[in-house]
Amino acid sequence: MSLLEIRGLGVSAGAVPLVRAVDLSIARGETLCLAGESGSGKSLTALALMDLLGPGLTRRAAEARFDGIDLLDRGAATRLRGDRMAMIFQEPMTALNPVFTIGGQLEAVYRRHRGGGSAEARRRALHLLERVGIGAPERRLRQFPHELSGGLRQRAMIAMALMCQPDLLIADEPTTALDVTVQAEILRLLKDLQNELGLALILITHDLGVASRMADRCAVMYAGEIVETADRRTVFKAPRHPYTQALLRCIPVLGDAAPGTRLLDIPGAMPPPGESETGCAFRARCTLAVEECASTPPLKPVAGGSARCWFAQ
Amino acid sequence: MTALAERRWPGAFRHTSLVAGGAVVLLVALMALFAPLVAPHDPFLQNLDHRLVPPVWEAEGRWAHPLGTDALGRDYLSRLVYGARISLFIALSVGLLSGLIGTALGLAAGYYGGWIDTAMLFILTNRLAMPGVLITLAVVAIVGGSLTVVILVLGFLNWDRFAVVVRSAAQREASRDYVLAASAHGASGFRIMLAEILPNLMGPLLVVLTVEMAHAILIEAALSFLGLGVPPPNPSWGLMVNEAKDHIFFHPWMIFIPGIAIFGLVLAINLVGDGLRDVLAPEWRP
Amino acid sequence: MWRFAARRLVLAVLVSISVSLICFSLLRLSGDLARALAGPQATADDVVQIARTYGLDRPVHVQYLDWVGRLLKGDLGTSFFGATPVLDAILARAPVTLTLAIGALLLALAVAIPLGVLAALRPNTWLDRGVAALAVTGQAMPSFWLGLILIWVFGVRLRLLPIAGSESWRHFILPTAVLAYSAVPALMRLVRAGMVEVLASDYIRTARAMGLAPFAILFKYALRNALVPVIALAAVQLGSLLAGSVVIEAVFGLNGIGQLAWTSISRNDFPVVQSIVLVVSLLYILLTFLGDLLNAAVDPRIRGQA
Repeated sequence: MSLLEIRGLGVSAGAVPLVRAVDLSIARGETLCLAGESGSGKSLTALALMDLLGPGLTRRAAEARFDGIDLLDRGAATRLRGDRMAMIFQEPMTALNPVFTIGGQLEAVYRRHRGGGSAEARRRALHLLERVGIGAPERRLRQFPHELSGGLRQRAMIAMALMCQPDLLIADEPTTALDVTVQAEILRLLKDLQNELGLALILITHDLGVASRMADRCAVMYAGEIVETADRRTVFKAPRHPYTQALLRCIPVLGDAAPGTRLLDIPGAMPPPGESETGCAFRARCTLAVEECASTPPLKPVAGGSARCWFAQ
Repeated sequence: MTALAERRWPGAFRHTSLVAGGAVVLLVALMALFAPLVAPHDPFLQNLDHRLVPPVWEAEGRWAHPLGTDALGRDYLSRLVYGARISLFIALSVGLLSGLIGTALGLAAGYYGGWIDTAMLFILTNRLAMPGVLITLAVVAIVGGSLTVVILVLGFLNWDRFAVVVRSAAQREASRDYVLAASAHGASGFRIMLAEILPNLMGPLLVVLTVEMAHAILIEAALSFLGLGVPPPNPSWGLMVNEAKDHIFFHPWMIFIPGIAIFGLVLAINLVGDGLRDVLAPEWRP
Repeated sequence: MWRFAARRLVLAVLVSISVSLICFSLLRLSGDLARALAGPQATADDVVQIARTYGLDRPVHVQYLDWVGRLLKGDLGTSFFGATPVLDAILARAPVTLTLAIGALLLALAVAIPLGVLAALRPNTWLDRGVAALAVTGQAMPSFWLGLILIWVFGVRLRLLPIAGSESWRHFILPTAVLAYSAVPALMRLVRAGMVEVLASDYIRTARAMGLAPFAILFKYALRNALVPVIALAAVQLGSLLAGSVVIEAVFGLNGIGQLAWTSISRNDFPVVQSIVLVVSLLYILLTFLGDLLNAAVDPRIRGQA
């Protein structure tokens, strides 16, 4: 049985739909990459899932269940957050409260969900800080966020997310704001933790390279919709949706092309929210577009996953 | 004034408090300007036969003195109208004087930085540490009270907000490309500060100016209320409240009327300032 | 933390010294002090006599050092009227002014913080606009006028509260309220702005993401972050409340330091005036110093700053 089952998730800002008809599922221990360019709606989807949307944004879903628990019930969702579902964000520099110690913030999460005394929480925090690769954890516990580098802060965030041993971790572009060298370390850490703890991971990224390294399955988003889902092999070897295909074509490959070859890109731009109510959102930029594309293609099952295109097999 | 012109002036007219406040200020300014035409009587003319006449809405009120008369029989409405002159004059002069001093200090500190900045901050800390009200009172007591003295003292004491705002704005502008370009062209520091940086600060400066103008009116009113501001027989609104407080039991309207005038004018100026801030310096919106 | 405190202390001492210099020269700015003291009818001999009595014929820096020396021993000079030591006069009246100022600040905080938080939680609603209107009217209201109006309403018409004097606690209700009313607007705006910014911050989102209780998020976390600048402002406000009590004490007939300042200013009692200005300034410097320390205690990022 899958851990997370989402059907028909949508997010709107008033009357303007930002995310539409998103179906997601993830099994225990699985890594699902939610990939797409900026503005495709991946972060909003995750926030909607966690019931963390900001003011002015509403969500609705046909079904949203975590291990059978209804996520649309706000009380239940609040209890699950930090306990069995956790999320880490893109900007480690601002994600931690500057006036509280690292230890204080970590322990607060543990005590909130597990009760117990501060000694127990402290031990758990120390253990996790060490586990995520932060040296001298006793000293770090007493320090404040501004005393840690970006990479260390992100590791502390991961530790905080793991305090109550969640079943699902959602990571929203966790390495985008970090140095390239640190990026690889953080990703490796996530993979290790996943294997050790049996953690399901939803990794949100715009970087296909990251997706290719981490994902068991991929869901590609475009203009607020999921346009393709597939397992890793299929996505990178034989993608079905023209957008995914175009994305992969744009990746420059060293050595293959002759000098002076132009870098490819996809002409045009992603339509802003509210503009493509009906029809395929990609048709303005798609080389295959025909009249049929003016009506919205459904997410069709294909070999290895599903794709939202009339041409997908 | 290109920076100002690019801001959204048409939007300003939709901003209700700016318009309302501006209308009141304009009204008071016109009233002050045309005081001899607006006021029914000479504000200094005493008439001991008609002392303490209540305003028209009271039983013994008369239309000859719509707002009544004070303890010396002087027409209250006329004194109110001429008092507007004093308030507005003080607001403008103090605002401009303190603005000049504060802007000069702030520009120098922000543009040159280094020890000039440190020195200016030290001066500022000293200025803020000392109780402005007490110093003003002391100076007025020693030198004697008059409009000029009040304006000079308040002007030389209230530059701190200007200095702080101009300093941080100048710091921000000093590293911008157009300043570096001017400097590369051999422009002197003075020229850069006055011709390049200052025009870009007009927005925030205007906002601070309204704040300080309102502030000056309130301080002058308090000083005159204490008897150490504008001297009698001038119709300063604060002084009018002072002269009225002995009659609080039987003639409370004498206190209400000048107080409402002070409150109304200061409120209007503050609303104009808030409106200007929303248009010219929205990053300050609280 | 201690390095920060030491740096601040050094600054406070430096400012105190320069403030004392300014105080010292303030009185001598009005021209020949001896002549001013002697009065308009004095002869040249009288002036010389006065100069010798008060030590005004010595070099200026000697006078200054002598003055500072006596200050450090607690000798603030004696009043021209009645020969009471100035320090005693100030200390006798300090309780009234301190009660007034501290009471007003506490009342202002008790009003500003809840209202600011409420306004931040319901932005752009009628509540928010009402709070903003309160702030705007508070800033425009002349305090002496408000005091008189309240005296008229509560003292004359309703006869609920006493009109003047400082005998009982009831005498302090109106003056404290009026003084607090002038401090509320700035504090309230700061609380509201701070809360709005904090509530939209990434770290509060993290707190929500970790499932922390909404009540705790608001009061234990968000408020703590938002109050950091409020502490600094409160310390500064206390200083200006002390100075602003001059007017309030005059209106309500309270026998505090403000009243003492005003009387001695009116009759040119220079030793008292000079001492009061100095004492209030030093108090303000002390308050700012304490405010900085409190700030650094609450927000650890400040400790590293100059």
